[in-house]
Amino acid sequence: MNLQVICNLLRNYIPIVLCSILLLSCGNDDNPQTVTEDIVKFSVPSNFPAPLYNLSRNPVTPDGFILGRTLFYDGILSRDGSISCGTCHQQFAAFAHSGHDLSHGIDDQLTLRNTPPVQNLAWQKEFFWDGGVTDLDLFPINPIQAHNEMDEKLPNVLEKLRRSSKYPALFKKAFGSDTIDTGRFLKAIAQFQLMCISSNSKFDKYERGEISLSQEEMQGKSVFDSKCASCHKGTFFTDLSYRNNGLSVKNAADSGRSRVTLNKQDSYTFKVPSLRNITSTDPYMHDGRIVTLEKVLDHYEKGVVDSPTLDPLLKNGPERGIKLSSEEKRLIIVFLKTLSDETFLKNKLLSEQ
Amino acid sequence: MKKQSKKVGIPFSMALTMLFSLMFAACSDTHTPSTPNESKTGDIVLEFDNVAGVDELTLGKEYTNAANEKFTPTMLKYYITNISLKTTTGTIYTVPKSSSYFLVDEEVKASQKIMIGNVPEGDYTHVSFTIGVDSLSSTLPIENRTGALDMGGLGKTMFWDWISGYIFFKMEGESQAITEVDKNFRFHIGGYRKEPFNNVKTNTISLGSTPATVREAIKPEVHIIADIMKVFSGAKSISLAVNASYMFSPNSVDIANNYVNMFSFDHVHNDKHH
Ligand code: HEC
Ligand code: HEC
Repeated sequence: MNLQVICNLLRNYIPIVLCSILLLSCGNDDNPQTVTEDIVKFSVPSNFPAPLYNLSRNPVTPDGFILGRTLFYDGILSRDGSISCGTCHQQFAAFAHSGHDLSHGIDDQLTLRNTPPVQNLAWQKEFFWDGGVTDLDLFPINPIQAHNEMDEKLPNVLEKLRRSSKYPALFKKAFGSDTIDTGRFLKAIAQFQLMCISSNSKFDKYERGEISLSQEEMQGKSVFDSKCASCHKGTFFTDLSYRNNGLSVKNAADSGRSRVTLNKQDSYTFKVPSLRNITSTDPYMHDGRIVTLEKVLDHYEKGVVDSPTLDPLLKNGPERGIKLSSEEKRLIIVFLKTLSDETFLKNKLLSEQ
Repeated sequence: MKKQSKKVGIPFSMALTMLFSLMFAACSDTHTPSTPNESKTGDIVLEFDNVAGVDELTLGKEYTNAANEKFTPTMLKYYITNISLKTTTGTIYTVPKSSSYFLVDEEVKASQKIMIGNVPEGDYTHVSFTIGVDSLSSTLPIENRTGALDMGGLGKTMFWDWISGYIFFKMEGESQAITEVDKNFRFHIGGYRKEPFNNVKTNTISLGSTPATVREAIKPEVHIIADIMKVFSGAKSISLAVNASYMFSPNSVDIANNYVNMFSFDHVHNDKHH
């Protein structure tokens, strides 16, 4: 193990201050990533709970991860080669789609919803804004086959990979033989996504007792805890439930969670999103209708629309929404900024090579 | 695969029988098989013959349903899983779950003959199966979803990728009785969870007084009729004019309650292996 390897290892677990000192002696951080890939390993950050994904079935290995990353960034998964997962899931936006309310898939067709970040998925059991997909491994089938995303067929993708010059060797490295089948293909992509762990924000370091937050940040945290954390709960800033936070109905065809449960009580409820890296994942909400965090807070203060499924937490007698002064809004945003994780957004291991 | 016995003329089959008598002195007559030896195993074939009432089913041909609507089926596929067999004495043989997933596809002749090996010798009078994919199988780890369950292979058109579930039964076609502009009907029936509905159905077919006599040297072929007319009638009468699309919706239960009864026993050949 050379110094750089040790350095990268440490970087994940010790405060950035310490690491930067080490980095000085490690030389240039812009160096190629090949070194770091030997240490690809799924580890649970100390402030995170146990993952919900069963890693014993699909342990992350360096070669499995590299294969997954290659697939994630390869247009070969789409009908005409033009769209990769990375087209809509951009690393600098925490793998959300920067600046897009809805995303464009193949032939410039729009997606139904806003592209959410891909981060910390090992701690989720249900995927999509409506929670329809219940196994991370099965996830890629949907974007691959959606006519407005990649418009390809899974068997065709596997066939193209088998015929390609590079993939049989990558599968062999990852899984021991060059057989390319559904299970291996999906597990490799899962391995890449599992490694998209964001756990080095200022807030994480605060949670791990490595640093303290500024006075303003702490004030923001306490406003947040009293006004927002009932839904945006815990380390992941979501209780993973489906709720209606009072957005007006813009697209009646997208009834949210009730598409999955067929229960009227779930009409227009959507998954409470994580707020990690929130300053990088704009625009906001399931359809990307809100452009800034200030406007999100305005929504909670005075934009909440009543409806039969509006969440009870946003109803207070005859009043709707959350009481927020402009100072409280400012402080909340100060706090939300501590959820940004530059290490994750710039981690070369996760970038297109 | 043995098929000739049905078609060849009498003299030839007589000749065959004579030939067999010489070759297999121990069990020369397919109609009086030896007593089963449970430590030995044999094979059995379940053949699903899709029909439309009294006619063989032919995709692209027009039929008339119970609601007196003309319709032309263009696709028929369904999962047959969790097969078990019961003998005259009540002994049940359950096919190991992992080798008990089959997709019957009207367009793929071979898929209509389900071959089961390693069956203990016995005189089987009942065949049970699930139409669909039960919840355990619907949530299998990806590496165990092989064969008919492989959504990148045989099961490719039988999976809802937006709600993570198999489509158990798929019938599509066309009908001028449909009042909408789109004259196609689509029955895509699935749903393995408790909520919002569960369409995992099982059926048991009785072979009556003609058991399938599985022996090391006898491979019975059980013919099961699957009548698509029954999809339109039964627990609930289905009219395409009223509704032509049944997919992930509560009314899909009506279709499943009908198709569970589309299966019936026709006949069995207790033929020897070749
Ligand atoms: C055309 C843009 C587009 C492409 C290409 C695309 N996605 Fe997405 N992705 C989306 C959108 C939009 C959603 C939200 C959809 C919804 O909730 O209905 C999403 C959701 C997700 C989620 C769910 C995250 C969560 O928290 O629930 C994951 C995981 C994901 N995508 C991974 C992938 C992978 C892997 C690929 C490549 C195989 C891919 N995406 C390709 C746009 C895209
Ligand atoms: C009743 C539960 C609830 C409360 C309380 C709540 N939220 Fe939300 N929040 C949600 C839901 C649900 C969504 C997603 C709504 C949608 O897109 O349809 C959401 C979305 C957001 C988003 C957009 C995230 C993204 O990735 O698009 C932000 C930012 C946000 N909330 C911040 C806050 C803040 C700050 C507070 C406190 C002032 C707060 N929320 C209070 C439930 C809640």
